[in-house]
Amino acid sequence: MNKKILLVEPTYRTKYPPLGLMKLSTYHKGKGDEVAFVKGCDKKAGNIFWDRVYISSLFTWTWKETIKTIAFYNDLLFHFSGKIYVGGILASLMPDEIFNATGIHPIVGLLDNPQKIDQDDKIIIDRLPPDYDIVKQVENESFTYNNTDAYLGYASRGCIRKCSYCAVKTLEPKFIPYINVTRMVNSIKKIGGDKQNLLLMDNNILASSKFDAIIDDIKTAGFRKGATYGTTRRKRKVDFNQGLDARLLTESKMKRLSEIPLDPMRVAFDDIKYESTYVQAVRLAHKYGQKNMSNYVLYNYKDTPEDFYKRLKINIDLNIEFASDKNGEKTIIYSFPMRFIPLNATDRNIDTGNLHWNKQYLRAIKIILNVTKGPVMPGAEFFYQAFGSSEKEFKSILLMPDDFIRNRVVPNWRQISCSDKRLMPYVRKWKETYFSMSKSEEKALIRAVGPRDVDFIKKEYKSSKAKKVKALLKAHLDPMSFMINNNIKIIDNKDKECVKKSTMPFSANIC
Amino acid sequence: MRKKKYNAIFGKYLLDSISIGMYNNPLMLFREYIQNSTDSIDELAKRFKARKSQSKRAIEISINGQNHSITIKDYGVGVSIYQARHMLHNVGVSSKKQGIDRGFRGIGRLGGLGYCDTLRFVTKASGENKYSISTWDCKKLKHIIANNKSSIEARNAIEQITQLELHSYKKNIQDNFFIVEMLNVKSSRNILLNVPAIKDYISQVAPVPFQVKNFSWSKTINSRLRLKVPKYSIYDIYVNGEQIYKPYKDTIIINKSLVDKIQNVDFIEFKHDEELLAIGWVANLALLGAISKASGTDGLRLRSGNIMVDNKEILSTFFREKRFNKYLLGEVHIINKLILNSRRDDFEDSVYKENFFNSFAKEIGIPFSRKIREVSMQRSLARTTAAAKDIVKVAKRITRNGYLSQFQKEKITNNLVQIKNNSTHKTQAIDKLINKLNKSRYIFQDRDIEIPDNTYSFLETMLDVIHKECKNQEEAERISNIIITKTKSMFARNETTKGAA
Repeated sequence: MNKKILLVEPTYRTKYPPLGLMKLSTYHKGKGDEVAFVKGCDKKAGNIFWDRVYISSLFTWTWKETIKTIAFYNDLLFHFSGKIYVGGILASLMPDEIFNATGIHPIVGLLDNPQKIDQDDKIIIDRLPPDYDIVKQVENESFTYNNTDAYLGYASRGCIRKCSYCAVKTLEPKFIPYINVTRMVNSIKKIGGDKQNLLLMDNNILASSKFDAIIDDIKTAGFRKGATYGTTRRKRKVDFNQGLDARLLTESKMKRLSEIPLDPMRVAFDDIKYESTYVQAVRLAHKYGQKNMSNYVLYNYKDTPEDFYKRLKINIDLNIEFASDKNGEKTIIYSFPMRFIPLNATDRNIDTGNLHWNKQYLRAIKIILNVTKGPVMPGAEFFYQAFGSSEKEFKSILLMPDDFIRNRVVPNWRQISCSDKRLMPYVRKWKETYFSMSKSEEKALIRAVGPRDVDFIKKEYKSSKAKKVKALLKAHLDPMSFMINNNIKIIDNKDKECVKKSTMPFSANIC
Repeated sequence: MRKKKYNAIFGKYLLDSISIGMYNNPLMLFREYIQNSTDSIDELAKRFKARKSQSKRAIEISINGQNHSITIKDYGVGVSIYQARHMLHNVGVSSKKQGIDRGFRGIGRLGGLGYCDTLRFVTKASGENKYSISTWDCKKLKHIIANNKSSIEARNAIEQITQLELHSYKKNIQDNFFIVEMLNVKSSRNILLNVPAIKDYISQVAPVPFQVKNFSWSKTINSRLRLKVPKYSIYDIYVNGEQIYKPYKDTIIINKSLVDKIQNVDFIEFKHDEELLAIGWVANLALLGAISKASGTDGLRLRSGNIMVDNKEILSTFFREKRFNKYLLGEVHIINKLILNSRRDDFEDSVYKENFFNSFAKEIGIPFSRKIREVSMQRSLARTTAAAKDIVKVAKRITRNGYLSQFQKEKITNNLVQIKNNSTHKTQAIDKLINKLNKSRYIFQDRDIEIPDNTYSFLETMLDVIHKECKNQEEAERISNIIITKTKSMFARNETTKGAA
């Protein structure tokens, strides 16, 4: 008898379509079942009796939304046991917590065993091609997935490393060095049509002993360098979106990688201690004509703000170096800062225990990065404007009130060559005061603004005797007065509005 | 290792738990005794198949308000004098069979222990010239249980409070019966002596017949259920001489002004893997609202062996909103496989239970929840449409005759704007009407009659007050119109007089 299957993705923000649900869709459609896909808690789903409901999960910090969704569907199915299956990353990382919160014990890890969802057959669902059709059921004017024009898949599974900040060791504990990409691409093509790009989510492809065979497969599947897609003649791209391990990038492997249209190439720069390995890997990529690189830069793990800045700057310096190479490819590196969030954090705002960082710094970085929605611009001028020209200046920016960070430069800053004159007067004043501070005064300032707690700043402001500290704390408590006092003469409130408008946001300037 | 012999102790509180502690409504003891009687009647019918006509399917209940006593009598197989002690004084032992008889745990007859001073079972089996009387001293039992110093065993407690007597029977030796007597009945708010409440309870819970003259679907339902449900049977139960029927009727009262009629009866089967777990009949109604509680028929009710399981709410959980069950009318009869728990308020956990409730949600709970919501949406849509039509009517009247008060005009304009915002078509026409309305005149403005200025402003104020204060705008309009007609005729007459002069 045909069953009615409901696939649910909780309403968290996500770029990638839910691959696990898409594979489950292929599985159930293959059995002749009716499959529907919804986003979040859909009341209309209550009009139908579902034989099974599958709920996916993503990052642990989507905890609240995920638990809410599970509870909603549990209610919808009148708490019938064995009808709701919860899986995915959060489910695999925190199964006991989910069980305690919902009474449903989730499926841990991959759908690589028919017993996990009580199948009456022996099909390995993880190896099935994803069903791209279901994605259209939830896409609308305000919500679309990215990367639906790509073959989504894997050429290997798991990772040989066991980095403490990474969940792969739990999610995919077994390293499987080879999965046939050509076959995967062909089976997707058969049911879902041809796709422009190839998105491979391998965790450590360079560790695979079958690396050469994998590159051959990718080429056979139609992804040679210069290959185009269909009648549009658009260039095809291959993306190992989980990044490549710099420590394993040999010249021969880079040579093989240069045979496919890798765009972008991603190499992680997680720790300053790997500087030489990292720089060597990037230079190797440059040597083999890699055009775009998007490199993950982990922060707030065990690093300091200073070494985070250093790593960003290394990429800028490399960009300058490659730009001046007249013969070779002008490789461009985009830094992609990634904040470390513990593997069991149910909320994004969590203290990781790294004493070098604090709430103020993290928020400040977020504000700076908001301009580009993530990556750091590769140009030196933009970089120094956004992050400061030295580690010390970087720190001075991190300590500013939010509005100062957002509105640092004058509207016509590009026409001014002197970098200091580009800044709004109040920012200059801030910097001046900050740079003239003694070590102990700086410490007092960091201690006061670090936790981003207004009451605490007020208290510190009252008890502090240092004039400079007091002045900067006042800026945090009342940024508008500080701006006005150090800006232009103000006559009445109307002018205050003018000040606000004239200080165009940093984002507007840079875009 | 040698196992040490050990005799487990069954303490006195056990008796408390399996009698008074079992049920949360004293009326449930009627259900327990009726269930015993039906099993006994069925057993007799089975034994004397050839002489079926002899078996009397009656259960007679008498409630005596003067003596505070209850008796429940059936003419079933009764208990032979040889088995009396075994069957009546042992606990948790039953000769009945699970899946065939309705009861089988051997504790149901103790239901009365908590609600009277003396509980007696008087019984005789056919062919014997003696009958047995088993007496339970409930007062003494309560005393024993309440006595903290005594840690007597359940077995000894029963020995102390019970007594079995045999008496010779002078009437027809073929007679057989079982009588439960509860003497000096005591219950909270006297519920066990409340005859109407007892009748009401039995009519909804016990395996009584439909009343054919009120419920024309009786025959259809009975014949279908007899075919499909092995334990579907009906008994004649009398309370103080009046036969009790199920309360179903062809006409369904929803509220004072809303009545529905059963159009048809659907039979729905609840299956798991082609195995029939239950069958139900559901009246075909317009789903206009919750059926009146007083009718005793609201909601689909679950029955096993034609006796209601739990209360009428047991199936409500499987609707999108619990109240939706009250919109429906019918019964669901368990066929077999599902075993009732000892409280008769649910089933023992099993895959069949899970599948039955699943199937119920699938066949009834979810589709009917959807239908009820649809009907409700349609009705509210119809209501808004009707209201909108009325408003348009008034607006047109105002544009023709002039408005009765500024308040009325503003209100109607606002209503029209609302209608326009909520509708997708005819918005242009509504806009036109609003325009016209804005230009409309006050009803006295044309001055075809001459009203003195002070009267004019007085009238204006009064009509405004009427429209503001009247909750019913139709009524406000009606009163205003009377005033206007009267005023017009008054001043018009003056004018004609003037003209004539």
